[in-house]
Amino acid sequence: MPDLVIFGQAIVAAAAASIVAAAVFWFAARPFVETLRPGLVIALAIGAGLVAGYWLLTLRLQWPPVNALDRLLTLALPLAVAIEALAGVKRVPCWLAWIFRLLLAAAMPRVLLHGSIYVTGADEDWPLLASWLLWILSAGLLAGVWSLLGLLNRQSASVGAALCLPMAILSGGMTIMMSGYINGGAASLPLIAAILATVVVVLVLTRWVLRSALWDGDAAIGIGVVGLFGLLFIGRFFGELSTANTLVILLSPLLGWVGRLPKLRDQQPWMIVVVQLVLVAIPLFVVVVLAKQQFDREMAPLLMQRSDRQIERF
Amino acid sequence: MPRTLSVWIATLALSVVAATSAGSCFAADEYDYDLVHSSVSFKARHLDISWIHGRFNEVSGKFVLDREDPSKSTFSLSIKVDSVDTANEARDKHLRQPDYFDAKQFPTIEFKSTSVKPIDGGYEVTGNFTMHGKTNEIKLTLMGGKEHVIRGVKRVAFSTETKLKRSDYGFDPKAIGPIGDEAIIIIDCEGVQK
Repeated sequence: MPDLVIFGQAIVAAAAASIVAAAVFWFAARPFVETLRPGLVIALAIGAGLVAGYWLLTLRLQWPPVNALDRLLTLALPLAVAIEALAGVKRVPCWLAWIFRLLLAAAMPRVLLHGSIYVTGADEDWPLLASWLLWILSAGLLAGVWSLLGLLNRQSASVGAALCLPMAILSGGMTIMMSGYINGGAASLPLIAAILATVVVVLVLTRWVLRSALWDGDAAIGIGVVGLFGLLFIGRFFGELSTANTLVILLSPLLGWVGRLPKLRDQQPWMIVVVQLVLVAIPLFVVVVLAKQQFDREMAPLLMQRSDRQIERF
Repeated sequence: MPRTLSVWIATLALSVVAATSAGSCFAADEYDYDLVHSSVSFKARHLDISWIHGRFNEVSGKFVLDREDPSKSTFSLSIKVDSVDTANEARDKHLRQPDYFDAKQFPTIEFKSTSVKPIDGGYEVTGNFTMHGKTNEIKLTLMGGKEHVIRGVKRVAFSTETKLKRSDYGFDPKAIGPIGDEAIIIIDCEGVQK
């Protein structure tokens, strides 16, 4: 059963750690503004939030990792944080940072599937060819979403793309939890809190202290996309998340590209962000509502006391 | 004289052949697990007031019985986790997920014997039991071993019951609350001689 107290503690811890880390790193990095990008501060702050949040979530992560969630939280996400932190150093060229990102995108599906029926040949439904196809298509999907969101972030120079991701992660987490995989859904909470808290703090410090309109969201997007993809991938291939829900949630942040349409992109930045958030929220809301209906039909009788009359309703 | 010698040699040769054949009748017999006439079932406490029953529908295995030297006997069993059946499809789907058995990561439950000792009415079998990625040594008391030949095929059967704690096999403690930690496993297996 979900423990709401532990969930709340994990969210607060992740947000608090990210806020403190963002503020500390931001001021500490100011003398080095010639050599560092804001992405370094964002990556480190999100990383601090993730450590604090997952510590309190008591997911019993194991090292060496034994399951897909272990591999996501102890390998893939830390690598994403490290890559984005490295990309925050100006001496590292952008093309090199993107090579590291694409390498992580290429490796991630295989890492998450390690030791499972999808790669060991233990299941005759998953021969070698099917495993390879799954790996290639999944890696391509991750690389595509990551690249398109990164491009949107650079072209729009606004916080919209970075804010769409926590919404998608929240929708993914709720849907995974309602499909029966509670720990998988819970793992989304520190990620949402760390990204949101960091983005808000860095935005406020940049706009009010530096009086600058500059925004570098690459780090938030990189870590967010890796986290979102990882959770959905695990929910789909180890849990009971449907392929349709997985794809809708993963691709919904790309609706932010509507903000680049000719008539819209010349509007006020805040208006563009609002339109992006509303457009992305619509399919996510539909997915969550449908997942709740399925949960009430299938899972609720197992987890709660319900009268026969309530069950007959469905 | 030569005729007597040849008769003597023939008798000796026949005796050797007979002795060899008699020896092979007592060699180890290998049996395959007969899924149709066997079952692996379990039960666990629900809210400490009732029992939830279930079974695994896809099981395979084999055992080798050496009546002359029982310590050379071996037993092995492989259970497909995906075949868990508690007569409730929603619960079965839930049990296959990573919060419980994690069937896609750990598709089988395995038992392989490491030592066998004859006891009154059966065997005491020590072996490695692997579930959810963790291996622990357990001891099973197999009662039975009675043979029956039907349509020229030899069959033998054993029964055993054992208790296991899910927490000993890496199951999430948070998933243990409403369903008890300890599960009782009941195995009735009939083997068909190969």
